[in-house]
Amino acid sequence: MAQPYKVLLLFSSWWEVVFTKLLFMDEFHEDKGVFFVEVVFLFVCSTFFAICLIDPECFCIFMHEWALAEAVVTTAVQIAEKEGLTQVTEVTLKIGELQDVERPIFRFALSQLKPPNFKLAKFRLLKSKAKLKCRRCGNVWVFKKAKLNKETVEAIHFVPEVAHTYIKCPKCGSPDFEILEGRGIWLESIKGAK
Amino acid sequence: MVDPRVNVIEQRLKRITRIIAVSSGKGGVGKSMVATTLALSLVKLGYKAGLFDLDFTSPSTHIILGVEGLQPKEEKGLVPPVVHGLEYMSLVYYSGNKATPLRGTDTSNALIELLAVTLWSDLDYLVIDMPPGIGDAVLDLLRLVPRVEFLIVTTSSLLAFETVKKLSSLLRELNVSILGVVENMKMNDSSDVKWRTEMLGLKFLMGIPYDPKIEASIGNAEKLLETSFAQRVNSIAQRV
Repeated sequence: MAQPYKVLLLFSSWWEVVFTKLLFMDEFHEDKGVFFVEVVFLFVCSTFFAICLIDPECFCIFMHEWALAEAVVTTAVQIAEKEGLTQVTEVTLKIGELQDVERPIFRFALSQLKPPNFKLAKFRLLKSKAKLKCRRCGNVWVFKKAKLNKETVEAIHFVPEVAHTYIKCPKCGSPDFEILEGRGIWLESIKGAK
Repeated sequence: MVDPRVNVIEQRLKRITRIIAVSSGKGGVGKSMVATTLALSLVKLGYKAGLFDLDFTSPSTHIILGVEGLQPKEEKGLVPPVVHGLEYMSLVYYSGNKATPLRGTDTSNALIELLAVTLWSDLDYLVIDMPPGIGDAVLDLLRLVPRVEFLIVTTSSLLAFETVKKLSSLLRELNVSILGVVENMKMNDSSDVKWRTEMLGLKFLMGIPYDPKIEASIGNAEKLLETSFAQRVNSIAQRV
């Protein structure tokens, strides 16, 4: 659940900007001091980028969201085949807040895993609030991850059912509650051409 | 709406040659001990093996193995840590030692989640420690992993054997392979359970006498493998 991939994305964007500037440096700068700073900056960013290429896992971009994305793509392909869709244009997914899936990684994984007939497909990720209902007193409440510590959020992220270990009904304190909605990932619909 | 996780389970398990669920109709028959020792014995015999604790509400294999401070590695899924040569997966990594009260749908969801995201390597055997009884875990496993084979553990008690009848009858109706029955914690030389097992048309794998040294080996896999209990389980491992 660490998020260094965000740093990676940020650095990659900066790298692109610097690279563009360097290409046109004569037009932008005549000041050698500024040019020197930019070259150093470019060197740092390039090194970072090279590390990303050599060992992307060190930035945690291959997190367990990949496994979930793989499940989505496998299922979507099966449905598309069943419905005779030759080109899929849109896949709508509901993402439950309880599991707290890292959307940028999940989107990236989907883009990497989709087969050729999903080339034009747009993945719509709809947010679904996690609604819990106490089986003991009937209280219904919305899950708020801000109230939990990092380790607990992470445990629930991997297996949402361990919520029963850490979350209690705010009204009566019971761990016996039902997850009404917003648990994990659901494939809602697929659109495409036959 | 479709739950996409179910469709990837077969893919996750395709690199495993055989999947053995160690099950019992009743609790307290030593099922977790047999499952853990069987998995360790398979490793000792040179096989690549994994152990998956499916007893979500009362897990104990981590205590038998002495697992502490380990976490699965995140790498396009969850890669189970290797413990004493075994790839080991349990809900305990996420629930810790706290109580995890789960109802049927929660058990099913946790099982589907772990089956969908756990990345086992090329294994000869995956041993599954099942919760006791014919509940959600058994039914879900039969639904999601139809090629699973069952090894049933009982004690000499008639009460325990009565549940063997029910479990084996369910498995037979569903055409599920039953490797045989292990009689654990034998207190005498009676061959009553062996006779009853054979009357059901099942294979009697082994009678394991009660081993008073086993309690002292909990948490120490090397010590466990030196017990007479482990020697018996080892001979089961050679025959499954």
